[in-house]
Amino acid sequence: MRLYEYQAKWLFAAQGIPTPPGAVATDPEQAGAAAEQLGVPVALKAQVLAGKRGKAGGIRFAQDAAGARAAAHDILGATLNGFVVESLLVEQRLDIASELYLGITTDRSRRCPVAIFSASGGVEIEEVARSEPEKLIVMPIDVAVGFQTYHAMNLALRGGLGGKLLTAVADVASRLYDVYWQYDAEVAEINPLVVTQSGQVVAADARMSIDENALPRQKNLPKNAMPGSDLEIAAREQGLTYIPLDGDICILANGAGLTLATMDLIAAHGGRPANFTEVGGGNYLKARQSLAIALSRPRIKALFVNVFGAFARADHIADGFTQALVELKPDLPIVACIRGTEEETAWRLVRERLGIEPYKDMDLAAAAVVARAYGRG
Amino acid sequence: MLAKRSDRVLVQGITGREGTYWTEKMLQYGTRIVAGVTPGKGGQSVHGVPVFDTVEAAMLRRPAEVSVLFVPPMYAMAGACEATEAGIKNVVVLADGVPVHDTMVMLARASQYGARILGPNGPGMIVPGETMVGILPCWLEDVFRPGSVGVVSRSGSLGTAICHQVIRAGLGQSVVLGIGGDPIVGTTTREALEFFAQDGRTRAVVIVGELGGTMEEDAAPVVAEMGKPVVAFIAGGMAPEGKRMGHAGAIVEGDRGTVRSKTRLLAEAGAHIARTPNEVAELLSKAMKTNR
Repeated sequence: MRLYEYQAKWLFAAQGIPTPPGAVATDPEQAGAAAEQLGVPVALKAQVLAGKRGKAGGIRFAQDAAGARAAAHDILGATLNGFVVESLLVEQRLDIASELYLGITTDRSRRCPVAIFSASGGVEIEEVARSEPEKLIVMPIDVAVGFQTYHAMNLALRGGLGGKLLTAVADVASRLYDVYWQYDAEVAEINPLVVTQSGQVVAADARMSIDENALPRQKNLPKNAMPGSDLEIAAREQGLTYIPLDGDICILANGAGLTLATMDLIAAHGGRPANFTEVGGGNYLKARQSLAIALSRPRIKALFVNVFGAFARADHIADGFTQALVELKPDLPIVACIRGTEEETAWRLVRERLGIEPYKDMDLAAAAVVARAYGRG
Repeated sequence: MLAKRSDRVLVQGITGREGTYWTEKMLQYGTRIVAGVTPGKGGQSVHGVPVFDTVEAAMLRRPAEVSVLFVPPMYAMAGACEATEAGIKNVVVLADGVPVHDTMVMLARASQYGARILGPNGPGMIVPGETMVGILPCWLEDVFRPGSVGVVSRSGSLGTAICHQVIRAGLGQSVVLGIGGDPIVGTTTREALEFFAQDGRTRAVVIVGELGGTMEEDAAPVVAEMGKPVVAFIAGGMAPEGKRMGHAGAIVEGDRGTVRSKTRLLAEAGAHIARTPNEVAELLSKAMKTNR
């Protein structure tokens, strides 16, 4: 779950990482008032969960309150990289001497967190990784020991820092790890970490994303940070993952892997999948909600159900989705392929409730649903 | 690697609904379950298996080589650490929804104690005809049969579907490892291949992968060296770009992680790439005949 910049900065500041004085504004008047209160000049930054915000015109500067109101008027309500700007972060403008990069992220290959530092910050950090990899310091972290001060000092030293700046950056790095660990973050990143003319180190931007599996124990996090369409949000509130696609064959499968394979299979037969809906784990009884969401879109030509149920038993899943379909009564062809635990019961439910014969081979089933969707069968 | 027929198995969370259900299924299959653990339920029994309050208490009376956890995701880290600290060297974590930080902690603990973790978020493992530890529908005869094909899968449901394709090819499995679908897992595709390379019974391998992460890419060098035919199906070619873990994540993975990068590297290493689950059966029959 991505956080907005201002939300991440709250968490950073609470952990003692210096951030610019700032305030959130949702209309031009608030932006003007914030500028007066903070002292000009200010930066006004669109709060959207999209990268390259600066290039898209999402960051403006103002010399006075009137300028702040005007800039806010321009940015609020505008669309940036597909996201409508609903709020701004108004901050004191920094006197920048240099820009650094600092990040803590979970490294899937190394199976541990890594701290990443570069004295060349501010720019696209992927670009630094490609063109000047020697300027990027990557340090794996042993979770049993954590990220101690000596680790942080070594990170900054290897990145070429010394003196007071070394100490200040190392301090921010160890606090950033604390934020990362405490909030179950996937990534906590500061780019740029600004060194001001007066030698202060300040987190000018903040990027943070939280492991959704950890949300049950992260009660104090902001709830409104996930992007997505209304349907995606509705699905998420039901505990389902729903991603709409461009196609017209609606898919209901169990488990992420089988759902991905089902999409591939539909495509291999010349069909166009309409959605990714994960109904894994304990969510199989929520088939009604996920089907209602997936079938509510226009242009859906057929429904393909593909189940290979082991832990989530095939009969339980079949009970859920057949009941849902009896209630929803969608007026389109339905093809179901079902295998797994208690499959005979599952087949019986499909025959009795939907009046269709279930398939046992997913390849034949996929061919059938594509043919029926496009009127070839 | 992990369970053999002779291994004794302990079930953590045995008195829960799923723990009870699957303990019966495992016992029926012949798995040597010697003890169960549920805090506060010591002294009870489930399908004839004695229940203890902690793993340590169980190990004193009924030692085991393998533990399988039927515990909710938020308790998986403590459960896995409890098992490794009590001396169990093979721990199977089934839970879906374990926080990644917890996984990193349990893996650090396991490596300290010389233990191996299978999962989280996987279905466990099966040696067909001998033992099943986890939640695989072992009684389906057109899915699991003894044979010579090693299967490693990141997905439970898809892996099971692919096992059916192995049977369709007229073959059976030596070992099926459900390594789990989480971003970080205890046993990787590469480690599974290294096991299959050494395993005398395994004559061919099927890799069931999916987009994201770099486990398939990391396994490619072993495919090239192992001298046994490998068939791979990587799901997610039709999926939209997955979520990236910010810029820092992109740095770590670079351009890897896509289905294209996985299939390209595996194909270059000599693996046969199936475009659909059914193609696995055809490619496998062919590969077994030519032994390449």
